[in-house]
Amino acid sequence: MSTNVQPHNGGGNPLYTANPDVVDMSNYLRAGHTLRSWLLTVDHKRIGLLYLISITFMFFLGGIFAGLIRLELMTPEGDLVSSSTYNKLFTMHGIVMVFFFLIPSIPAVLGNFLVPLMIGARDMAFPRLNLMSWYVYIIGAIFTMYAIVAGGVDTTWRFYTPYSTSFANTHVMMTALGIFIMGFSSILTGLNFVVTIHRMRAPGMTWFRMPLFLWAMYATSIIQILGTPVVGIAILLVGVERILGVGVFNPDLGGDPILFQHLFWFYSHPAVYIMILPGMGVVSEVITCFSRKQIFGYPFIAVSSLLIAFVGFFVWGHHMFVTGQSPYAGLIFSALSFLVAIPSAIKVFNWTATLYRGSVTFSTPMLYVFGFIGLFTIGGLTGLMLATLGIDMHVHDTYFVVAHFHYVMVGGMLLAYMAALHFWWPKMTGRMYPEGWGRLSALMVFMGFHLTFFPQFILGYLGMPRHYHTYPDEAGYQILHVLSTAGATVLGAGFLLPAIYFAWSFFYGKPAGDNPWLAKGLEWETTSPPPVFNFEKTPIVTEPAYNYSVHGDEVSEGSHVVAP
Amino acid sequence: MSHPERANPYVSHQFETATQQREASILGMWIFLATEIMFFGGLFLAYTIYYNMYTDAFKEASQHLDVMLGGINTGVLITSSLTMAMAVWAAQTSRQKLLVLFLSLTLVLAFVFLGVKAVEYMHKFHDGLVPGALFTYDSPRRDQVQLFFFIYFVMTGLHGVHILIGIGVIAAILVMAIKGKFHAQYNNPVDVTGLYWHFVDVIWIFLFPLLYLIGRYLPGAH
Amino acid sequence: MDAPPMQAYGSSEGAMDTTPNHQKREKHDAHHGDVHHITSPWVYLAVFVALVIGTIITVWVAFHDFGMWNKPIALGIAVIKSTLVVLYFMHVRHSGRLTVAVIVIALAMLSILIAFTASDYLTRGSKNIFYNEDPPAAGAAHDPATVPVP
Repeated sequence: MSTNVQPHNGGGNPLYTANPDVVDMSNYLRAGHTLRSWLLTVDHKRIGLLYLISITFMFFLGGIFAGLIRLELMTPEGDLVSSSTYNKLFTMHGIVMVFFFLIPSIPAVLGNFLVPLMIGARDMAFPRLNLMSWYVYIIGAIFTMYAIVAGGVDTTWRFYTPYSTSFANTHVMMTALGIFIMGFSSILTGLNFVVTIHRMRAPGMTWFRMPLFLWAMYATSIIQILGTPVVGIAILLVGVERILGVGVFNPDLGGDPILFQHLFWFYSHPAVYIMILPGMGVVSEVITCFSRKQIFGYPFIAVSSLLIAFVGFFVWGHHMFVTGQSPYAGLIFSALSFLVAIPSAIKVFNWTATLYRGSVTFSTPMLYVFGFIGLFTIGGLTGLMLATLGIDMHVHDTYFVVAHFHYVMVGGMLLAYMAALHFWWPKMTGRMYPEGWGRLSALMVFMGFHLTFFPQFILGYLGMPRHYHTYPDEAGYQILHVLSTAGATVLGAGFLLPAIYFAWSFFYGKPAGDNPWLAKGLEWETTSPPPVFNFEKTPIVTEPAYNYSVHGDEVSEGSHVVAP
Repeated sequence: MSHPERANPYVSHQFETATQQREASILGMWIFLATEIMFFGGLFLAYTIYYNMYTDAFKEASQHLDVMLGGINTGVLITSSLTMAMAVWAAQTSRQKLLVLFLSLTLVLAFVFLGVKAVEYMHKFHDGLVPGALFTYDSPRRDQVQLFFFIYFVMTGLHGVHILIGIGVIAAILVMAIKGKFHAQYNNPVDVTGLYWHFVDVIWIFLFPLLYLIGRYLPGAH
Repeated sequence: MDAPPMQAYGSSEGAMDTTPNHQKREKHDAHHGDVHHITSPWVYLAVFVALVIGTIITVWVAFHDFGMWNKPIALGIAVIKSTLVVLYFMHVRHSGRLTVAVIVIALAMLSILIAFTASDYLTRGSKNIFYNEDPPAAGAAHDPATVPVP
């Protein structure tokens, strides 16, 4: 393996070449210079970057909605926005963040970029389908953006019936259409990953030699394939019901609104695992690299990903404990929900065991990963509390729930996404981000996050309901809300910082070399940025993943490597 | 690396071998069909729940569907499945003329299916059985019967959309077949389109008894 | 079939451990002939006849009273018909285990969707074993227990 730190590209603009007519196949960033060459590309790496740009935009859009929500809640009175505007704000925050940022985040950006690289393939199994999924995503996003610009939607991201079908007079149809279309993007991406992982692995890349990120992507894809169509049909039914004015979910006309919730949560609960599983895959990659040690319990982490995906399909009813769902079904769903904790805990135990006696480096990705492990554990444990019927009756629809899922979604997924971006940024661009600023951002995100969401646990426990833009003055909520808003400011700055230095380092960062982390894995054995067809010649895999103990050029003088 | 060298012009750049390519496309289509199973599955769930809630109303409503037309359409679709299977066989054995013939037959049958479906929809329209503002059915079970027709129209409508997509794909395959693109060495697109088409047939195999044939034995039924 | 040149893999030659997955499959395929399995047209025709007969039986059954068995019979025939289509028209009989796994997993998930949702509907409105009283009236406004449950 070469650790060539010479710039492949020369200095300056990484997209620039002296002669634009020459297609440089040895660097995917320079393989075409026109806008057309980007918009009609079938290269999985370029498609990953297209996704990166799109979802970053959506992330900051959703972030603006979140900021407005936090500002409004600083004071007990509804002085910034009206109640109907507030309803639209949290609805659009949820829709943009869940459907257009979190679900495509790691799979569509890093999954697209890394899956073929990690298995030693030239491209995805279906490159054109891959490009199509991006366009489908964009079309879905355009419909949703139109709904937002035209006046917004206020059904919450869950579209609960009969409000969404019979009463809401906001842009439900447009938003629903956008999400329906975006769902196909998710399905097609998942389909592509599964086929790619099954059929495109390089010689010698057996299932149990695959990086754990791929196991996580595989499990994620299965959920995308089997879950997404069900929410598609649920949203379709809402749309048709709105058009025709009939009552498939309207109790006045013989329908059952709970049926919608069953259909919706059958997808939307596993969707939580679409969001968190790729993050877990990233953590496994990063933690083993910066501990200079083979990961502890590889097969357990690998299989637990599939188990989470599988068990995740049995637990959706725990979102419906306080609806008209039968208490017996609630009992079953509650009991099954506890099962999810087992594979999740297996992962956390294995990660911490990997750290044990490793030679740990506290670089930016690792800091983010540490944040992930802590925050995800808190989020997961409060999830167990919420899965308990009695506690859920008490705190349902309060800020306790809000805090819980933000600990998992933001504290878990978003931190893992940031870790992944930092970890693979040198591979994607050939440039290094500024390490000092990176560590600062990791610290700011971690601190800001706790300040934002920990007070919300207390708020929820004290009885502050979600979805309200005012609260009683004398309830003592304000101090906690102010803390939360202050934290959100730090958090926002913590996310803005990487956006700036990543953009800067893309053009001016110092060349990273092929393998700045001395990491194992096929993606590190090709050049940075990789050539159009990824590898000079098809790689041959002869060793297990994360074989750090036999790696020659280790920096870990004090490491106590455990033999595999 | 320049564009990978390969001996076989039918293999796309990302694949090593023709077998790998064929297996990838077949697996891809099957996974897509798994998605479709869940897609229709949500509707089958809604049907199951409401059928069990309002069994009598559903049986009453089902009498207003035309078994004759539904039966004819079942036959049409099964036959089109046969012609599609024969088209795959013709492609696999390089029988160019037969391939074009069978694909054309499939296409014609698909249009016949849609035509019959359109006639049925027209009848429902006339009888005021289209849910919504045009629903004029008068009975104590009006709402429940409307629910049945809602499910009927969504299920058959979605199935019809799949037929339409199938028509588009088969037409594209037919054009390629006429140009002589398919033969024993390369016939993935025909094969994969076949899988899709048979799946549409399978859905109908379930829709027909569930929608058209419930409660037909009851006295007074027709 | 277009067998790939082994040299494409360089040093992978001969090393059992590093045999590419698609080459393994290719070897496997070689068991049933050099080309993908081709189903005979006569098999297709036989399946078609079976499908037509199945349809006729379905219609005939529907017009006769079998008590509670009408629906199971109709669905049973539909399952048999679709199995025939899947096995022969869609070549699953000669496909690998992976194809079967995809179908089985999808059907299993569909069963989970239907079974768990049904578990809610079937137990609604039944007597609450946790309290010595009627099911709580809370949420009755939205409670579909107010609509008739079979």
